[in-house]
Amino acid sequence: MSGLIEWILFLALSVLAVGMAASMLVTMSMYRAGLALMSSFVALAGLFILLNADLLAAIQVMMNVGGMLVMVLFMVMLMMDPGGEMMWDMKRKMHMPGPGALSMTMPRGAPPSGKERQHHQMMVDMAMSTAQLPWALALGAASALVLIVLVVRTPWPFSSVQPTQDATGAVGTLLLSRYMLGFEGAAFLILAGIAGAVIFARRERAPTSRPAAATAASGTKIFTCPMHEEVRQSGPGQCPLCGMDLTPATEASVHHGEGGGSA
Amino acid sequence: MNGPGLVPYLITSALLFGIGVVGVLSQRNAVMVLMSVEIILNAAILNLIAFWRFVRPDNFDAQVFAIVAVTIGAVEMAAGLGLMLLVFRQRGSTNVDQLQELKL
Repeated sequence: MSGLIEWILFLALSVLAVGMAASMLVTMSMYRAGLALMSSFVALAGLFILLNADLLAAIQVMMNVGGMLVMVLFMVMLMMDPGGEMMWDMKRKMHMPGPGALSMTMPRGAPPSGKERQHHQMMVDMAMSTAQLPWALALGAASALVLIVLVVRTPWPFSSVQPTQDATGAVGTLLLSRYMLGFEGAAFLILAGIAGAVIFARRERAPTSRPAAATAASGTKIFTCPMHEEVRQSGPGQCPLCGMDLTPATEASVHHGEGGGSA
Repeated sequence: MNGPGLVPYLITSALLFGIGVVGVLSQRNAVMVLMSVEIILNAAILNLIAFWRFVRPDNFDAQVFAIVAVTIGAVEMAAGLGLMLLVFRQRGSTNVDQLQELKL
């Protein structure tokens, strides 16, 4: 492959990898963040191919991109507002600066009084990043800068040897001879990971000595807003603060809410 | 004209690392933190492969190491997601700011 084509491919792939990783952090939607990370991984796999590591590119696509697919699925199922539509709508209604597609940041300054206070509280609830975002940005930029300066200033040893075409065979031989222990260790790690994830995610059996919940005692179900815990009513409906559909309150949040109320 | 050498790949990797650091330090959602950790891990793997290609292309140890690192990343993501599922079931959110029950 001629050098110019290689440069063009390298620039396109690395701009894609870095840009998609950055857009993962600025998009307002978790779903899009997952897809952005996935495309960053695919661009990285392309870089691996440019580096003559075809086997690793295949593994990268199979494991990381496949893993991200599951993660995106989980996000759609678990997160409220995975597509970011609600956040977008709120941003527009509240006339917030910046494009609606960008994620909300923590509002600055003390909470204002009056009607603005509710807006402020909503912004705090919806913000994707903490108030320490400027510090995080500075630290990230500083670490990248230090690394780049070090990389450019170091005289790296360089070998002009072209790698053999049969890298897969060589890696396979190494894995089953010298690095057998590491190979088996990785296999055991995967097994432990599967078992651990299943145990973590297993639904708890209902214990027999379950404390009688307030909901069961009164016979009515308490509904609450997923965003505003203080909203409580005895039937389904919509939250008076943000208009979201109310969900049945879990036992933990009921107790939490009662404890907070009586204290 | 020669293709890109070692340094351009290392610069890409450094940029990815910086983005990952920003994400880990600033995101409120635990899933986003996990995803940022994945970016950092992938930056490290890109480094490994770039060094293999340009410094010791005749020695495949680096590729074996990278394969093990990718495996560890996948396991970490699976176990992390399991944990997040558990946390979400118990509290209804995966906001890391709210996980402070151990505080007195």
